[in-house]
Formats: sequence, structure tokens, C-alpha cells
Amino acid sequence: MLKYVTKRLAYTLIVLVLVSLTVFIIFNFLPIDPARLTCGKSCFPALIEANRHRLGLDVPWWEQWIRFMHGLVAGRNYAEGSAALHCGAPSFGYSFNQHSCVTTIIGQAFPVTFGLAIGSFFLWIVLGVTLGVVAARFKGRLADRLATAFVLIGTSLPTFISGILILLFVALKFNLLNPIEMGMWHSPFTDPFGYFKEFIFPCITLALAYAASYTRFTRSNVIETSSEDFIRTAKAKGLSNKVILRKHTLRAALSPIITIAGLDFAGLLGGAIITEGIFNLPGLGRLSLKAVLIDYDLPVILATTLLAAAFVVVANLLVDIAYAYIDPRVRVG
Amino acid sequence: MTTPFLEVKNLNVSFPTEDGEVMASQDISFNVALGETLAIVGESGSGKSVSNLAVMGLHNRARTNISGEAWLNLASGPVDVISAPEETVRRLRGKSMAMIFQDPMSALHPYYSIGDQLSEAWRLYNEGSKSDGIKRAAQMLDLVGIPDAARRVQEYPHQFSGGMRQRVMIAMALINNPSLLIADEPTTALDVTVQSQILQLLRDMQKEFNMAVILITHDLGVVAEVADRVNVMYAGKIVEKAGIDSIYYNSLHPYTMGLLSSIPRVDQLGGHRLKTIPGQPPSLIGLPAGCSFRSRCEFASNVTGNLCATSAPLLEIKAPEHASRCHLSVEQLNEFNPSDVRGTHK
Repeated sequence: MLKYVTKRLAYTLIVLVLVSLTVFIIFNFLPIDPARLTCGKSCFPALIEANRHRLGLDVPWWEQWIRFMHGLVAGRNYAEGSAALHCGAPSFGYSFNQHSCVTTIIGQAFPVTFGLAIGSFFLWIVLGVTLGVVAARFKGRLADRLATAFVLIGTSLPTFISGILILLFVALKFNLLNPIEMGMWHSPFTDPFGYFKEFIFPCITLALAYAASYTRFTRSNVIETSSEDFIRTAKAKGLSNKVILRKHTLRAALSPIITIAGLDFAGLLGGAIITEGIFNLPGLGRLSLKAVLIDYDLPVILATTLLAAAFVVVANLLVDIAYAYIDPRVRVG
Repeated sequence: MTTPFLEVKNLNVSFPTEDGEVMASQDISFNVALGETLAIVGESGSGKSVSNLAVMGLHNRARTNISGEAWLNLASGPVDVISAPEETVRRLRGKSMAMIFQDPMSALHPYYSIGDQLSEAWRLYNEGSKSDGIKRAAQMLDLVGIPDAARRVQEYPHQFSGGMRQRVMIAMALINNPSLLIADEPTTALDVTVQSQILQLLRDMQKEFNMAVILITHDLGVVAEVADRVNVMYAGKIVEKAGIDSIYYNSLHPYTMGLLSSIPRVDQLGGHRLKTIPGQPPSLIGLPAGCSFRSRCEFASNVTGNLCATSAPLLEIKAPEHASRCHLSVEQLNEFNPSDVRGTHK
């Protein structure tokens, strides 16, 4: 088991290094000069070149990459003398645009995205799995049809519609959310109620979209597993339907959900661009959107891209490890 | 004769479908006594599994029409498992009657260890901790001939071979000492060498536990090895029932004769083509009047008039302890019975 994990960990690191290399190569070919972006209209060549040097953009891309990787581990210094800057490890670079170390920027945005991801994940798993099991249990009956209707609505309503509907017709209409306060940071520790109010609606928006597909997935998995031979064996033993469902059917039917749930959660950690936008949440999604569309803030784009990739790759690793615990066929070969 | 443990009387099982009602088994009656093995022989779709699943109560009652009776003569008094409430039948499953299935590869839960699965069955009807259950499981594994049982009880199904898994299934079925064991094609999915080991094991276990055994199979070779009596089924009905010797040496039904003469034999080398029964079994939806086997029957033309097409033959006793569902007389049937089957089987 330890060997397996070590091996998978090594693969994960290799993938991340490759992702960072790819991003660096792409950025190298972009028709954007990051140094030129450091000063406004009244810029003169000498200042651009000076900034280029201060930001370490005057060396070949591969050397930039090596410095970046080094910075990730050991932190990094920019410029010299009175203008000297230090970004501590792990340094994702320096955003001239925001005059701040990228790690600091990410550090502010990530908790927002993380809260959103955790909240909606919890909601959609509970809702999706419950509805799916109920639908499978009462296949063809009213409960099943209602669940199917939910699936249809959930999958066909994009978050930019459902989010706006929830915001306008629930949150604002019933004065549950103060529009002025939207986007302000409420600490979950000092102001849990404010935090809850801020997050519950975006969480519901995201959860609705995901829960639909989880309902469908759970339903079909439970139905499929119910016709397995080992379920008939369990019945022949004399077990009650309740025990069969709980211990035998669900164990086998829900295990594959861990795979997609892990990956979906990791995808969300990279930022929920639309939902964060609608509810004015300053998370990673909005950060990268702004960096891409408005600021051409390459260090930030680089960091969010790498982070998103890292979340997915690490989630993959965790899912595989979890699977080894769940499925003995993986664990003992 | 002792009272049989299981008495099935006029059991009908059918499945309503969009195309019509599938008459999976019709008018099934048979008995099995403790210590006795009844073989039920027939091709796929002949209703042999369906009728026994009904005895076990394993059909979805909402989607199956079942009528008739199936009495279990328990020490506490007889129970008709067809009309008894679902919960009553459930509490008989695994305790008074148990079943093993065709494919041992998929019949065990892949996520639970063998010990877990066996002890779950045991603890359902016995007071005891989980570790008691595991101990009991190891004893059972040992009994069914799994070497190193104490260690293997902790392993998972995928670590066992097909034959070993079938042994596990047998151990699990017998863990609560049932009086009736239904073995549904227990050797079909196994290698030939393993098949005979499993049959031997079933025979040993029957002696050990003094059980009534119903062996469902399409393999007449298997039947010859273990059965005391045989029911031959065709298109949902029992077409012939008799003791093992009568079936092999003195079959009184054209279908059984056809089955017997289509067994490849080592004592008949040379350029023979293997004999087959021409045609297909009929669809079980909207069965035509008359004998279901007549379109494939070699001897139908010997029946006077058009009797085979117009009237379904009844299962009538044609010789002592020997019933057959055929319009032909015993004399005619004896005449048609291929002598090589009668004479040379030993």
C-alpha cells in the first residue's frame, strides 16, 4: 500500500511539473509583453526594460521556469535596493498589476472558493444520493418520476440562469441578503451567521446543478447493482430488504460515486467562475476571470491554472487511495 | 415412505410482459424427502429455475404471478411458502431452505471478505459475536474442503478460484443447517474436473446434514452421478418424472429419449454424427394448444388422429413410480426407445 501511494505521489509530481512547463511555454508565445503592462500610457522604453529586469523577465523562458520552481520552494526576491521585494515560499510570483505577491492574492481568494466548494459539495452529495436511492427504490412510481423531473430541470438549467433566479427571486426578494454586503468577507469564526447568509445561496446554486447528475448516476447504479447475482445471494441468505439495500446494494453502487465526486470537488476548488460572478464572491474563479479578461495578469493566471491542475491531480490521487480502501480487488491484488 | 420435506403442488409461475404473459412454469408438482436428491433437468427456459426460485420466494412478487402450493414440512408444522407472508418466507430462507447458484464468480459480494459474508449468514439466525461468526465460517470452510480455512476466511472472493468460490457458496448455504438445499446449475460455470469435485462435495454434505437436495441442471451426466429421482422439464412443464434408473434405461417420453441419445458417448466411436433434437423450444407466450413438444417429436405421427395438436397430454403414471406427459402408449414408447440407450448404460 505504501509503495503504491509513493509511486502515485511521484506520478502526481511529474504531472504537475509538466503542467507548469506547458503553461510557461504557452505564455512565452503569447503576443503579450508582461513588462509592457507594468506601466501605463506614458511609458518609456528604459522603464519597461528596468521593470523587465526587476521582474526577471529578461531571461529565457526556461530560466524563468527554473526561477519560478525555485521560488515555489524557497521564496523569491524581486528587484534590488530600495525597491526590493520579497515573496515568501511558496512564491507563485509577483503581480505588478496588483502590487502584491501572487501567493497573498491567492491566499485571500482561496478561502472563499473553498467555502463555496465544501458547502455545495455537502449539499449536492446529500441531495443527489438521497434522491437517487429513493428513485431507484421506488422505480417507476411517483417518487421516481419527481426525481426524474428534478434531474431534467437541474441538468438543463445552467448556473447563470438558476443563480440569477435564486438571487433575484429568493435572496433579494425576501431580503435574505443585503446587496451592499454581498462580496464582503464574513469570517466563519467571528460572524458565522453572516458567513452562512453569504454562502448559502451560491452553494445552493452550484449544488442544484451537480445534484441532478448525481441523482441520475445514483439511481442507475442502484438499479443496476440490485440485479447483480450477489444481491440475489444476499436475499437467499434471508437478509431483510433494508439490510440488503444498506449493506450490500449501496456499498457496491455508491463506490463509483467517490471517483466523480472527488474530481468534481477538485474542479470546483479551481474556482466557480459563473457562480462567484453572480454572487459577487471574491474567489479564485473571479480572480482568474479578471486576470484573463481585464488585467492580462500573467502571474495570477499562471498560479490559478497551476492550482486548478494541482487540485485535480491530487484529488485523483486521493480518490485512488480511497478506492483501495473501499474495494479489496484494488487493495489486495 | 417418509413424509417429504418439500411438497410442491400445482405450482404456476408466470411473468406479465408487454407482449403477453410468459408461462414460465405450469402445473409443477413434486416432492423431495430429507436425504434424497431430486434432479430437475431441462434446457434453458424450461422453467426449472423459475419454479425453484418461487419456492425460495426470490421472485419479485409485484412482477410475478405465482399460484399453487409449496409446503415445507418443518418440525414446527407445515408452511406453504407460496401463500405465507413475505416476512415468514424470508425467515425460512437461509435457515430451513438455502440455494446456491450457477455462477460463483458473481454470486459473492466483491467488497466483503468471505468470513464477513459467512458470518453475516450465521449471525442472522444465531446469537453470537462477529468473531464467533468468523470462527464458525472457518469451520464451514474447512468442512467443504477449503485448505487453510482459518487464514482464507479473511480473504476476499476475487482471491478464490471458481471451484473454491462454489465451495464457499455451499459453506454459506449450509452454515445454518438447512433441511432443503436447492442447487441451481452448481457446476455449469466450472471446469469439468472441478465439477465432479463439487458434486462429490454436495453428496457428502447431503449425508452430513441429511438434507433434501434439488439439483437443477441441463447436464444428464451430472444427474446420473448424484440424483435419486429425476424430473424432466420442457416448455414450463414436467414431461417425465421417474427414478434415476427408469429414466436412463426405460425412458417413457420422446423428449427424454432425444436428450439421452444426444449425449456424446465414448463407447460409440466411428463416423456417427451426434444425434440432435431438431427445432427450437416454443415461445412461452401464448403456448399453442396440444403438446408443446409435438413439432420436434419424432413419433408424433404414430399417435392416432390429430391428438398431439389438439389436446395437451396429461402427466400420467405409465409404470410404477414413473409418470410421463405423452399420448403414446407404454408399448409404443418402449418400442421407440433406442435400444443402445437402454441396453448399454451401466
